[in-house]
Amino acid sequence: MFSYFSDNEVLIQQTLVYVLLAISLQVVLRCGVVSLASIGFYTLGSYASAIAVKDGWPPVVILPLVALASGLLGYGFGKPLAKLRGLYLAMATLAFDLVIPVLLINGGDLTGGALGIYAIPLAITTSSLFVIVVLVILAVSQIERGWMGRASLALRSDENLARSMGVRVTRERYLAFAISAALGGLAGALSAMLFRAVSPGSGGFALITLGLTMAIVGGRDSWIGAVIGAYLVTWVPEWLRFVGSYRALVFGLVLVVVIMFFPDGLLGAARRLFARSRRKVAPASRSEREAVPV
Amino acid sequence: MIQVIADSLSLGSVYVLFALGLSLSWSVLNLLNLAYGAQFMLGAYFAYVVGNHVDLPLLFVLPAVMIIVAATSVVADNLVFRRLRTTAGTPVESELSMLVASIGLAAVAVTLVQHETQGESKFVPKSVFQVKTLNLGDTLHLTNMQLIMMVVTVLLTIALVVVVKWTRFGRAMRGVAVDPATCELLGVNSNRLFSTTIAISGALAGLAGVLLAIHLNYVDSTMGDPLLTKAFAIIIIGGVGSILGAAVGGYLLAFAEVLIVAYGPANYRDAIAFVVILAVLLLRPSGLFARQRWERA
Repeated sequence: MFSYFSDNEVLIQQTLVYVLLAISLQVVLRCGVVSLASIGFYTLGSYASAIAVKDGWPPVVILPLVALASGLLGYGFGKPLAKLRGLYLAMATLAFDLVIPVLLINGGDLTGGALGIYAIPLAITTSSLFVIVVLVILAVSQIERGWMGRASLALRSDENLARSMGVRVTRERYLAFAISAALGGLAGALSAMLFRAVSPGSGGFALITLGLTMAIVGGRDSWIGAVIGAYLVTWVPEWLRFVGSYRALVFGLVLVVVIMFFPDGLLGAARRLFARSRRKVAPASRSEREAVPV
Repeated sequence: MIQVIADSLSLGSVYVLFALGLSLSWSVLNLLNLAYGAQFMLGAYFAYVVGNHVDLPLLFVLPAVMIIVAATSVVADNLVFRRLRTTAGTPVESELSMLVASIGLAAVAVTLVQHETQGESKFVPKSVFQVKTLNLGDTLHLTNMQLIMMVVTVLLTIALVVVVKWTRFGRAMRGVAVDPATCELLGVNSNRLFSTTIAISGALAGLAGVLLAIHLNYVDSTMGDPLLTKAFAIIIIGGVGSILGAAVGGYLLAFAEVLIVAYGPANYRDAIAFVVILAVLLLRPSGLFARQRWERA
């Protein structure tokens, strides 16, 4: 058991960091806002934490600081971006994600240019990482179940209706932006502390594809989907060693198939399967439900 | 200075060629096609394959490649995008799922070509086209390929404007972009129209791929990615669906890039496109030249 953990420690750490990243994307996707900004905050957060750790700051200070700063920045970005809808928002946040590596390459000594920052002292253990992720999941699951979670679901299906039911649409959007940015930044900060190197190439297009895959394949309606997505993205490549260089092709196909046939992800598919099997046992319950006058 | 203008005209032609098809599929199908860079790359790759198997000049290779790439995009539309258009609950849902699906399709195409080329960069054989440098006066140097690209871009832009503005097909296309359901009632076969649009968009991607592969003398599985972001900037400048806007946007971006390489901090060349996207979206979200407001705000 212990040897399993030590053999696979890097993969476990990777999964935990990816869970945070996937949740950060889900938070915005769930209210029907296609924002990819948290990927950019991931990259920014990883650089900020790399620089701070090398400067000798303790992680206890860095992590909350990075999360808070990203959240505030995200809230600030939310203001002008809230005007944009759908693909335009996707476009603007994509541009934000992709301009950051360019700026980092040109950042001189502070960012280490094209090489990035390496030999960062190891600043965090797997167990404290685990605690952080569990805390985040607890917070997010409370939000999901509470007023804000229901409000964002309403926002996704019909914005005007949500507004008429008393959902403060703009405020919910800002909040989702801020939470998403904070989680993205936090995930980035943790990744720099764990993997001890950051480079401008680690952000950008590849990370966007990876993040979206995690958020969508697992199921974007719940944090459980993020855990499933992060787990699959980290471990499937290990299982798929035999397909060798065709791995990205398998990923692409899986993404297409899931989005076509299981738009609410593997979690949604499992839930539907479970609901159907329960209905078979007690078919009366369904007709009872339908008989209730609306 | 003349060389700067000539360079930006030829670079801008590449950008415009690339952006036109992307803009078309965005405006008609609401599809932010992140696989467009892969389609462009397929154009370049098929030019390399076809050119190595048959001994034919560009005039024959080019249409063949355009048809192949158009066919692949029609297959993708029929198999994937059509279902996502019709089954998604809300427009936002269908936009997101098409965007995600296009990422997946791009990964498939790029991996296949990467595997076929063993990750090496290839080039379109000289039997297809021989690039020559023409010296026009003392200070101006252009290749024959650059001239071809400029001419093709201008002709295509005009042709597309004419088709979209004045033909029955163009009217149906603009109509479907706004309200597919009503167009169906009026007798427009919207699925066929979507397929045709995506075929045209694919053919344009293939065309741009072949010409640019010959111009740069290189074919590579990831050659589409940097252009994709530039094309987004161009579409944002010109306004989605505006063909003339895309043309102006393409040349403006190219001019800015050539200027910064010639006189400014050349490293920031690739940042221009992103800064442009953010600035235009935040300050004037309907694009610099849009007359009517699109549904963005």
